[in-house]
Amino acid sequence: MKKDFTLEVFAENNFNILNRMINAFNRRRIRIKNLTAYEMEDDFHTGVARFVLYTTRENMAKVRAQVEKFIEVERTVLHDGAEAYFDKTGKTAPGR
Amino acid sequence: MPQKDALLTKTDPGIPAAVSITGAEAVIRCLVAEQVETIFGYPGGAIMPIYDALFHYMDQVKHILTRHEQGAIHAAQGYARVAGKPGVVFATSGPGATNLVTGLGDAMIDSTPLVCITGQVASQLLGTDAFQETDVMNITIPVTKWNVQITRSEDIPDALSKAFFIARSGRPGPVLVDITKDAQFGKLDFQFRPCTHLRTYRPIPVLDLKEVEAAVALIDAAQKPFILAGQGILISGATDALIAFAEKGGIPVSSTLLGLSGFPTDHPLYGGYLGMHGNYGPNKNINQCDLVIAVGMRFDDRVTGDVSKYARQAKVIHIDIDRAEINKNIQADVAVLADAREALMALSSRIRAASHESWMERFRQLRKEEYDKIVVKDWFPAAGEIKMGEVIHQLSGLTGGNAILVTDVGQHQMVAARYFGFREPRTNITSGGLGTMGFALPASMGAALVPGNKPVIAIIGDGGFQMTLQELGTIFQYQIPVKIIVLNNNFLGMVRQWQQLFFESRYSFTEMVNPDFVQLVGAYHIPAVEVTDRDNLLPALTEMLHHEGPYFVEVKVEKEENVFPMVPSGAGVSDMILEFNK
Ligand SMILES: Cc1ncc(C[n+]2csc(CCOP(=O)(O)OP(=O)(O)O)c2C)c(N)n1
Repeated sequence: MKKDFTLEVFAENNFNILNRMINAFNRRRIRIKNLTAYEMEDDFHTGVARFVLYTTRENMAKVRAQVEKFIEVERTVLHDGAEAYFDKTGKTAPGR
Repeated sequence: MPQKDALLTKTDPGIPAAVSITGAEAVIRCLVAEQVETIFGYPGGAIMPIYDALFHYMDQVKHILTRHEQGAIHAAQGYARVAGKPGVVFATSGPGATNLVTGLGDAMIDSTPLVCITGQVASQLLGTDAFQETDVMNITIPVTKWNVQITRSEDIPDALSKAFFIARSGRPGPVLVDITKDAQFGKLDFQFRPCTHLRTYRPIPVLDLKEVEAAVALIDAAQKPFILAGQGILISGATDALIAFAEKGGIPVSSTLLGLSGFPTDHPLYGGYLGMHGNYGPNKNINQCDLVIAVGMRFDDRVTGDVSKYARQAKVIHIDIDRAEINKNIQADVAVLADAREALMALSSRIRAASHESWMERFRQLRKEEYDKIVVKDWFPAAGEIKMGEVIHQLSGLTGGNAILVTDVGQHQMVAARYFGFREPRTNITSGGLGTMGFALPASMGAALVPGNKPVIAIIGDGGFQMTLQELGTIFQYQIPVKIIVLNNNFLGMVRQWQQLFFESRYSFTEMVNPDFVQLVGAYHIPAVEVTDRDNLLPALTEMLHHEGPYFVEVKVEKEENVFPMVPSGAGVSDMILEFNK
């Protein structure tokens, strides 16, 4: 059964890395419902991309492992649902 | 720009720790520092400064000018797969770079280490649709393990050492470094620092002994364990560890297409080759075993068939270096995340010595059944046209397996995988995951340029041969001693077989009217013979193997031969068919 997941990806902020992540989801035809990406204020080398994805738990686990494999990716954090970061107005919760 | 400026250090013996040189020269000096011996490439506007620097380093690094960038990258793949170290490719921007894409895709899916260096337009022109500008970065994201664009010369040394580290470590793969022309011309204070660590990249997982113990418990309890050996065995140099493990546990071993040559095919525990056109025994027995021990393989769909009918009765131990492969296609009961060699050694020392004679007997019985129904007809046809199987069987006998076999894609590839006796690691080079026709001829050039004394033999279909045959020019120019065998059935044989079996023999655009290959190859001054008669086959192959330089043999084979057994597409492995029932 498909549902919402929020995946936060912490990565080195190189030019390609955001595209790599998006490709990983597109390739498996996983819908991206919301995307926020930003540089860390105190360290522009590190970036965070936060995706709200609509897919099955199984696919989520598989694609997460593929994203974690990217050279620049330091770690990911997965949350069930989108509530914490995404409300119906499209506003996201403030970054941490 | 005057050449002298490009080379401030080459002739200076007392090179200080950091010297000011151009980005182009820094590229070459990085390659020398990485102990690159051979580069495969093709020049053009955006990479001319690098080629100019290379001109002065010809005594330290060899460059092979191929006839197409696809040829260069496949050659680098062949080189990398035999040598076990990254293959290096040069190409220019735009079309040069896009011509690499097939090879990158192939290397990505087959875990082949490559470092590709492409020239790019000057940085101020990026994004302007400048002449020969293409967005190589975005085009190659899905087909590279890592890629980077360099716009400042001072970034070149670190980017290249990082590229080599990433390409060869962990699960290897292709890396692309795109360097703008201004970065090639600009100066930097050169200092080479090898890369051995990256903060966000952990190529080799730490072996978890709890997982090892869990695996040992399953292995010790199993009555019918079965090892599936993939290319991970070859990449980690684990052949001896695999033999020791299999012998101690008395466990049969089967190889995937890319895993072939990782375990000697004449070993009593060898259970055959896995997959859609593999051997009968291993495919049938996968649904009989009680424990699958998968090592350095990824349960490709050509190996599993319908996963819902695959090894459902068995427990699964999956050993792999790449965590994304665990549970991707087949759920593992125990996952050992590790380098194959390290994991196998840890298992060997802990498992109980055992033998599983009645289980091995099942493999022998099924092998006999396959031999009687299929192999005999393939190896020793009483009459009629020459069969692919007898060519490979004779070749295997003549070489005693002491050869590197490079195969293209199609029926001949499957027949070669079935019938060639592989004895030593890294002697089977083929395009597995991508199934790239046109791979073998250039890949065999790369394989033959790795120092060593085994003959390199390319087995190619008439279709695939015509996809990259321009590389005959490269073979001629550099006298690369490859032995080329084209098995000519005047068909895109594998597609024709599927049409016959699954599309009621509607041969939609698979028949080929071919040129006179012997004359064509002769135009490149490569000795070439055609074999149409069975009696001439053995003498022609013998002559080929005795010949010093490149040599070409065209064998006219049966036009509508089928490769059996086979697992029909979408069926379960146990539904493997031994013959075609109309
Ligand atoms: C570049 C590419 N295009 C198409 C295919 C699909 N394909 C797979 S096998 C095959 C036929 C190969 O024919 P040939 O090279 O003559 O070898 P044979 O099967 O007859 O041994 C084709 C067209 C492919 N694998 N690669």
